Amino acid sequence: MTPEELAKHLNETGLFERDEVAHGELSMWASRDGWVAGAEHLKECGRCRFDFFTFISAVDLEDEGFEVVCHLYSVRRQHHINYKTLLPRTEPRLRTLKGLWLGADWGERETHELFGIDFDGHGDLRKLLLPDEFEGFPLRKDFLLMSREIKEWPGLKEPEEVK
Amino acid sequence: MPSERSAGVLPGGPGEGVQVVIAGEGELATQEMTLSIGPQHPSTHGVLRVVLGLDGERIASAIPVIGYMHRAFDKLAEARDYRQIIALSNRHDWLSAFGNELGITLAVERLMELEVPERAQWIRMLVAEWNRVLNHLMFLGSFGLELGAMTPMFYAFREREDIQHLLEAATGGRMHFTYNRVGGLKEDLPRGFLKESSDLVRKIRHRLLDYEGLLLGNEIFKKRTVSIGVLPGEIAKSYGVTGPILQASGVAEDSRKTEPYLHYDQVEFEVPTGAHGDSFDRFLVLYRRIEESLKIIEQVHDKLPAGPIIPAKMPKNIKPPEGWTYVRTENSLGETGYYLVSRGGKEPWRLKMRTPSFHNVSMIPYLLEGVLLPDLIAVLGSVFFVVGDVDR
Repeated sequence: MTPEELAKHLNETGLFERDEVAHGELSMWASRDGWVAGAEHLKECGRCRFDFFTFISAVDLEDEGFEVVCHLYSVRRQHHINYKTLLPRTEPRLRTLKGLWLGADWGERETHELFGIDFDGHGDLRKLLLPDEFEGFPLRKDFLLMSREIKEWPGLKEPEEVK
Repeated sequence: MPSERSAGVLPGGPGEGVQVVIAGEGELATQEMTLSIGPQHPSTHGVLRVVLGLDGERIASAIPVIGYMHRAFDKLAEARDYRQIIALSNRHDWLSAFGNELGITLAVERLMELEVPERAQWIRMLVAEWNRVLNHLMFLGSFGLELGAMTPMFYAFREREDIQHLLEAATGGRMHFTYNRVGGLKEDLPRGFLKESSDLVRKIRHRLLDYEGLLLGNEIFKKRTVSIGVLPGEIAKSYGVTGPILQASGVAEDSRKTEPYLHYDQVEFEVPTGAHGDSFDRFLVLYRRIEESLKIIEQVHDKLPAGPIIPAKMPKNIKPPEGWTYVRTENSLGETGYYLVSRGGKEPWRLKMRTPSFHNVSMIPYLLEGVLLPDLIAVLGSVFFVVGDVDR
């Protein structure tokens, strides 16, 4: 299906909040409570058949909160989706998709350690890439690189400004 | 320590060695043992650790421990401009540097809606395919080495040397090419490149027959790999496994074919698939992919148009407009994708790099469960991954 057709079909289910198509790619947003129900539909529905798990990660939108992005692909139908949801900064918590796609296991562990987003029902959110004793959530915007704490990134300035 | 032994007990004699307790009616009571392989182990191509739970000689559980080479690519990218990111993306997977930089350039170009000159697109395909051959030769050689065959490794490095020499002439780099620029390429191909390139295709095609004789037709090699580590296609897709491993499981998914980027729709090639999804099939698919890449390279030689390699008017500062995109490319080991979020700045707001090796390694627990310990290497070696690409 084309992204527009897919968006139309998914909107009819009532499981999703809004959609957006940009550069020929579809994004669908679900509410936090409808996250798993939406994902189940994407996997099971005969017209969607999202059987391939590409990745799960997040984007720090500062005041708006965290946007969790899960990219899925259907090998049979050959279409993509960016499945998203918005989490408040004060309570970044979401149900796990581990039961639907096996790849979500490591993806959620990574998102947990880098963004501090909790995945309920995952059960094994140990550190994956970082050392066990590491503190903080490095991909949050308020976590500065050590060298940036001392000095602003020089590349931010235009060459003319430096003169 | 001899001094600590009581004088009456001889080494290897009664009272020495392992005590075997016979439990029940002639059954051996076995205790589950934990064995840690790595992080420094020759079969893991870098620093990967696998913690095995062993029941006798059978692997009951396998837990990969990763992160030893984590260098925070995602975070660094948020404080670098796009030219620097191209150089940075070369590093994590040192065996497919060109494929990595290609993905990020395509993503930026898509956001900026840039028109890339024809010649640059064809040259990108040419170098990407040479890079693929370079990568696959490495695994072709090292897989043999892990199973005890030394010669393929030496052959592979002989061929790799020729290709690196060729690519060095064009890009200036032997491993980290940094040949892409947003909008096109750094430089045009040097004079005489196409002749050397087509000579090399012929040479490598001829030499590939050696591997066929040494490994694919080798009785011992087959005994160690056929029906070992079988991966069903459905499981592979669910883990997000891509590239030769997915194709060996019978899924003909290759974004060069299903969603052609550059000009892959204008060349003829096949996506080889395996019938059983075992270690042997994975190796066979890898081998066949080299043949297909050589086919593509020859077609690029014939179709390469003349013209510029970078648009005449390029902005000094690269600032993609606000938006997001996910660009996937079929890299040597599978799908390398970049999820790029821009807020119109010089550096990305968020750049998520999706690497094939990460997903390949996440599948290892499934593949190793129930496998005999001596087959561990035959299975691990066939899950082609680069540790830098796992840890990023």
